[in-house]
Amino acid sequence: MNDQALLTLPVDADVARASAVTAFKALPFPNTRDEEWRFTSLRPLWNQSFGAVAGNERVAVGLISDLDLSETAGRRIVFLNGLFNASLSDLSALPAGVLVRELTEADASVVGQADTFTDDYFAALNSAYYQSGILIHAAKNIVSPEPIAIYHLVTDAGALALPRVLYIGESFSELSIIEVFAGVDDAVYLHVPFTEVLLKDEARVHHFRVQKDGNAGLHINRTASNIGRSSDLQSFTISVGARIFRSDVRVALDGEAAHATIDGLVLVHQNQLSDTHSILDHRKPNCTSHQLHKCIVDGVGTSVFNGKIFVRQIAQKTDSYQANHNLQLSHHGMVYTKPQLEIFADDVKCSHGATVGQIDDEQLFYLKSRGLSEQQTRYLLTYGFAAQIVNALPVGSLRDRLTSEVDNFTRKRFEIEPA
Amino acid sequence: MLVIKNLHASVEGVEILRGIDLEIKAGEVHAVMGPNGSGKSTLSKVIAGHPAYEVTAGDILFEGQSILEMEPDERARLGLFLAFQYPVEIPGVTNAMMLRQAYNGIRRDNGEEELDPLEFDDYLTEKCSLVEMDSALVDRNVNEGFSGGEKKRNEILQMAVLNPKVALLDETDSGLDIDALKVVSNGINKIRGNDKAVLLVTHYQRILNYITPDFVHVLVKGRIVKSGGKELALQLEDEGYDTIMEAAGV
Repeated sequence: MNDQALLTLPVDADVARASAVTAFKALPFPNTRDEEWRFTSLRPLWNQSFGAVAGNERVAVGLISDLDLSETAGRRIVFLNGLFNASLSDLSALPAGVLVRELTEADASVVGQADTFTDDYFAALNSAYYQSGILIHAAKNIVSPEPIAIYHLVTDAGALALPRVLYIGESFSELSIIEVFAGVDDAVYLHVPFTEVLLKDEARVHHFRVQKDGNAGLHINRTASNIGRSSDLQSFTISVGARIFRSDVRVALDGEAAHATIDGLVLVHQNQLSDTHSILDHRKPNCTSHQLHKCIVDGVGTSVFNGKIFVRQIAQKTDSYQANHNLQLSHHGMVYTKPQLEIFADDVKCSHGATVGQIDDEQLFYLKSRGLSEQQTRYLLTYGFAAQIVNALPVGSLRDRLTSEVDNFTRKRFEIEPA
Repeated sequence: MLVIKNLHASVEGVEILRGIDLEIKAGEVHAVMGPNGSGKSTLSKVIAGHPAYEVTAGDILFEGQSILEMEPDERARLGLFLAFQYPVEIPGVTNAMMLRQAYNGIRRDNGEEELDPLEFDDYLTEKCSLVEMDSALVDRNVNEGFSGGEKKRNEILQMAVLNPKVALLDETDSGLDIDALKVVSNGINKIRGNDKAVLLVTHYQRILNYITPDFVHVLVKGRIVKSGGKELALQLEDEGYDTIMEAAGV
């Protein structure tokens, strides 16, 4: 067998993770014959060797400063090649009532509550062999506008990085968490993070994810949330980096009147592939969900979207909105989109839709009639397509950083001088 | 300033304009009126260079130069402006951002230094007061979520900012209540000048109470069937288009 990655894994995984190890060993390496991996070939991983590699702190500092978020000073957690790195982390300004600590084997019973790992090779891989993990805990009634950043960094070719994050928001708590995924360019590595979010009744979290992995890096991500009564999950993901990015987002709306927003923006060019598979599982009545997922595809890039919404029989009065819009800038890019609804309740409101298209002719004419050149117009419209999502972000430095990210991407594409 | 000669244009093979002749000199305001489907909007879009319309015969000269082969942006940079009947929404792009790029493009063409965002902000605020527009609207995305009146006012603001030589106003009055109509008309009047010309396409005589035209043309089935002074508009209001159409034998 050579159509899989060659992983060097620890021999004796902990007993507490024995079931995950068993599950992992029973799962085959995914290929495009699997329904969930139809459009995402993992061929770039074949015959590549990955294992634990010590990270380079000096390089890591550079990666952090590239994505410096001023609002998170004193609230930074750094994983380097999958390992929590205390010297690069700075937790000197955590809000009162917020606890951050490494996961220990004694936490085994709380890890893995938000989701199962038995159905997917990579989720099981992380669950069985994560090298280190962090628990963030917001106590009851703790509301803090000060965001916490988690930098997941990979600095070396051949690295297998398996970081684990667990966030627990107790009742009436509110916190912002920014996860940044970054790595060095031109290094083939395998980044497999797993983040769980548990929201208790009436809790709220703003969860931002910025994926800027290195251009040869492979990033396969699982983010699973279980949210309680009247809780509010506000999640936003931007994907710009990596050779292949696969994001599995799962949200269980597990209490009445809970709300989840999982918006996303994907920019792919050259030979990049970005694949988002999401499941919004409405398990209780009166819940609402919102998913706006936008993709800009250039070069021979590929975007994949597979969004499932389940509305269980008990989940009456569900109100769910899902849209996937794709803007194609080249003739050779590929877009695969599949919004799916499975509704077992009879009194719900669910809308879903997908569009794939080029720049709108009427918008083009409108801007050109104002004296903007064809290139300037295409730049502005492409920028606007993406900025519509980014402009809504509540954290200033993150919004500015991502706005310039989008601006750079589109300026470069349309050869427009920087402002 | 703008000369239209025997202009024929069609869309998807259907001929809409069937030989239009019109000359607009500096300082003049021309109103083009006509029933639904007569080709009024087509005329303004063809002059601005909309790609969906094909000019099959005739010519359009701007300051003596044919503009038929020019892209819409080249025409705009010569000093032509079209205020849209249905302004287009541009999500994610603010009014200020769009206008600054467009305005600086014109300044570059004229060999003038570009304005930085702060300088442009001052310039824009001044123009907002000219059209009595809330300056908060300039930081909103172009026309997104604007009311019908705000969209029309925004067109006039853009015109004030870009300061064109020839303005084409395509049914700028439609959908405006009486107060908004006054504001928009005032804005247009303030921009009028001896070195500028206006082509006003309209359905109703109403806006001509505020903007006095030098000439009124009646467009029917793609041809100008009658031209006259401002009294022609009043006659149309009284008698409707039927009398003129009968007299013209169309």
